[in-house]
Amino acid sequence: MNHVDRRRLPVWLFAIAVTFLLAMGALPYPAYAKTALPARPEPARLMTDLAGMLGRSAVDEIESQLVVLWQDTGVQFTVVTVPDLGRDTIDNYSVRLFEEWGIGEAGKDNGLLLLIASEEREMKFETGYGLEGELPDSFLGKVIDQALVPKFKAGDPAAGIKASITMVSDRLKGRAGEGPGSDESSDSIGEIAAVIVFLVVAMVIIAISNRRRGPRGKGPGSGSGSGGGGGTWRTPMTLPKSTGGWGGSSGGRSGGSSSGGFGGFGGGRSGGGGAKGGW
Amino acid sequence: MKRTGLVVLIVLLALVVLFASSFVRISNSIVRAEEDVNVQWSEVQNQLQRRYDLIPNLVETVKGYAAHEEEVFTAIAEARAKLGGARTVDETAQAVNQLEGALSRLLVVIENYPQLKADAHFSELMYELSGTENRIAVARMRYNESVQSYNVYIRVFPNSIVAGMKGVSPKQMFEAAEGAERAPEVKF
Repeated sequence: MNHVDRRRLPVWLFAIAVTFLLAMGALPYPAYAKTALPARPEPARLMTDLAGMLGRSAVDEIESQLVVLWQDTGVQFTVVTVPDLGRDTIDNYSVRLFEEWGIGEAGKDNGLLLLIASEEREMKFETGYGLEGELPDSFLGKVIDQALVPKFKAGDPAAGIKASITMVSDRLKGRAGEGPGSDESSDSIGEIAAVIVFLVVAMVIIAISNRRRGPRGKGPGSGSGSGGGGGTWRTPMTLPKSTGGWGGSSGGRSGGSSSGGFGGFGGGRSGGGGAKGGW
Repeated sequence: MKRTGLVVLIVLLALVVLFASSFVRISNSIVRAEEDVNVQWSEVQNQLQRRYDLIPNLVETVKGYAAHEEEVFTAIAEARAKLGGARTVDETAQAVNQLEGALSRLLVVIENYPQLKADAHFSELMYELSGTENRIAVARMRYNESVQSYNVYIRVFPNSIVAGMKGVSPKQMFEAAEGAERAPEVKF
């Protein structure tokens, strides 16, 4: 009895150590709790009237105007109206919404958000990092003063928004246009190719090691044909375990653009630039 | 007996390998978190620089309408020079707070000059300044968040052991001074 216990001791120590180490790795990075933001629209849209201040036909007209701008310039100009800001300031709310939805393409950060808070009667342009040069704060301030505020005061917010899109679009078209997501696709093709090459190499290695192990294994009965078949079929099932780390990093972003409508937000970022106003 | 010895040896070896690998992993996480703090800090400095560059332009414009408000202009110039010489996070925070105090006074002065507020160039500058203030606020918030993550990460057990062995210490947040929590409110 005593003898058995002493022999088991290292096993227990080992188990405890493994549990401890797993716990070490599982320590999470702290997350920050913040007040709730509206969910990203599904399917993706550029005009979202959560405050219900525009009317259905105006929303559709603005959406198509924004989609045209997106197709011509690649810029994801997004208009969102909210009933109120909760207890947040419009500055804070808009930069959080921008990042939460990921307006613009990752890397290019070519998103522009126009946030309108109905109850507070405030509006804010939030520029992505990549548009700060083309749409400086002073220009967006001018758009607010000249296009938005007068129409909002006159009780026709839809006309104000349309006029603001025209001003932004005129300014952006002063440069050479490029289609949406032009170089993103070649990137992901490269990634897919790398994964396929990796899988093929892994399968070859596994197949070779199976063949080597084969004769020493089950016995004389296994024919070479059926043995090989078994090996190749088993590989896809065993692979995911060994390539778990890879799968995670190569997952990437799916921004497939459907014809006609807006393709979806791509994870753009903003640093708080833009302009605000009230009516 | 001989077999038990072998098992113990293998277990010890496995333990050493496991400890070493988790040490390396935690150590790398600390490096990444530290680098994130550095990136966020350089963004804060970028945005402070942006404001720093805007100020002379703004002061010149205001001088065109309110030349005799020397006191405010001097205060701004002093704070601006101090910011230029700031090295540490604390020095920068102090200089920034002083500059924000002086800017707030400038904005009060501006209230007395209606023609200035009607100036198109001035209103452009004010939009730029207002956008920059918000950029600074965002950069500052992100910096503080990254510092908080970093400080928590290196202080929780067992990361604290690794942090102690590497000799890393908690980082400084960018704090606003008493009574100057808010950036100057740009309204006109």
